Amino acid sequence: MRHKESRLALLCLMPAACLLLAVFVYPIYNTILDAFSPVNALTGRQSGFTFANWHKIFGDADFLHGALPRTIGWTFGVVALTILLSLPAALLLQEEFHGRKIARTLFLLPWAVPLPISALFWKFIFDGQLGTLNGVLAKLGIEGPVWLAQAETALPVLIFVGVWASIPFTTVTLLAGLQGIGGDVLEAASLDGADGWKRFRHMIFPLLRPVINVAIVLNTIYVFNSFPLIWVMTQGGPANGTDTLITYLYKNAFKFSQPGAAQAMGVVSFGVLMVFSALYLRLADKEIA
Amino acid sequence: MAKLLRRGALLLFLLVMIAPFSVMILTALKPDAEIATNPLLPTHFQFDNLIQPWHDKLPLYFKNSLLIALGTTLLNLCLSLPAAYALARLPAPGKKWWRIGLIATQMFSPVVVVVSLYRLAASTHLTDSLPGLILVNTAYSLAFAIWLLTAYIAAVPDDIEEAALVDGCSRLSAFFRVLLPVARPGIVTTIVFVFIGAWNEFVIALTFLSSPDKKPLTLGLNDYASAYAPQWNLLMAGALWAILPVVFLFTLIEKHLAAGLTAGAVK
Repeated sequence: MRHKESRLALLCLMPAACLLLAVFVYPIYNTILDAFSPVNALTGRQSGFTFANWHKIFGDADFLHGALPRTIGWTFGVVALTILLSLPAALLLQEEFHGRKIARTLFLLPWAVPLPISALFWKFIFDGQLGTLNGVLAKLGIEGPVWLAQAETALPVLIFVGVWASIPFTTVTLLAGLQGIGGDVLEAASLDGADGWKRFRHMIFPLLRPVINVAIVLNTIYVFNSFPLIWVMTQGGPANGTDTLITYLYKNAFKFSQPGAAQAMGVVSFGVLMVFSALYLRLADKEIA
Repeated sequence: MAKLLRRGALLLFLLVMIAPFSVMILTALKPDAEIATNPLLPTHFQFDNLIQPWHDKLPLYFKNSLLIALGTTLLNLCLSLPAAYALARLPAPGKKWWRIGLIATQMFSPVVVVVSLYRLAASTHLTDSLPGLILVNTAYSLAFAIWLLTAYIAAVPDDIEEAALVDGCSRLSAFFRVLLPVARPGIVTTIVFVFIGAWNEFVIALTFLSSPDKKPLTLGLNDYASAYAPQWNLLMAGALWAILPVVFLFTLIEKHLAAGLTAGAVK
């Protein structure tokens, strides 16, 4: 009976495992192999072992001094601001008030809307000529900059939109965490006479800490991976000035015809993601399971 | 006073969060001439704009999005349901490795290996085809679906099925007639998650598809926006239709959002 059951289990798992092997594992294997081989844009991988792709990307100033440090800044900036803003948001939405249900739904809505389409809305808002923001500024007698046409303003705008896109997920996670703490603890804290900042600092924050950690790690992974937002709003431009590792990888692959360099960048991204996945696994094991 | 301040802060926050959607609706209803002159409210609402995109390419994009999302959801369910059942109910070998593997796979975005994916699709003649897109979308949402479904199935008490088995039900009919109905809320939640993810997908569609008549909404609307002098009011009207199905589905699963989101990556 037991033997028969494990055969059935294997049968049930097989189709999923096959698809994951073909479309998930096999491409990863190819990416790693490509990164250390000569790769032709038309015919693909050639035989031979080489570090040429690595010399290429680390000799490329737009990568080494541009996309690479910018990715760290972009990820850190978006994640830090997201957590900083989501904490008060979750605390405010946790309170009982009239219309809370609608407020929550509206607040979480950006999560459901396709990011490439939300990014279009923001692109229009920040448009230099027709944009809503510059239109309103013009009515006030201020001439707004062409936000997305220069890296100095485009990057902060992208970070702003990145934070906007990350807040719903983070707030939901923190709200769930607050629910786990339970009303009685929060109530007891207020009965103790501890209120406001003190209550948050000494009662809520330590209890919420594990959930905040999970939110930080997951956000880091998502923000690092993000593509549609930057692609729709600036395509990493002007002059590669808003590229992250991911968008620069994509450009190397499909715009600059440098598949070898793109695959090497894929391996770099891979390394970064492995570190954060391991971190998440440890957190998940400790806190969730 | 402090309470008033907190409500005020929340209201302000909320206004920023929904700002892009307000701009979308206001722009969608604007007469052509007012797009450049009235940044916020138009002098009158032109509801005709909402119908216009349906005479253009919107039905085509909508159909493609629907095919991709439905195909992905269906294929995903066919693969994830049995796998989740095995992990929750059967003595599957290497369960621990499945668990670690599933969490790890959720961390990877397909864009990291996009060159390899494109070449794989090209070698099997699946670029510029919806089935190719569906296969990749399924692979990248599969781990998450298995993860979520395993949790939901494991939460159903064993005895219900065992009673059915004792009553002479076969395993298969116990699965379909007893387990599935009980686990239905969890399955619906999973379906909605996968559907929304596939509806919102962008990078693989951007890479794989070249024929204009195969593009989904996310891609089609962006093509229209990058074209020379797009009509923003009609574009926004199209976008309004494009987000309507997922916004509706979202309200269905909002309650389960937290559990689902921390269980996996929905990008």
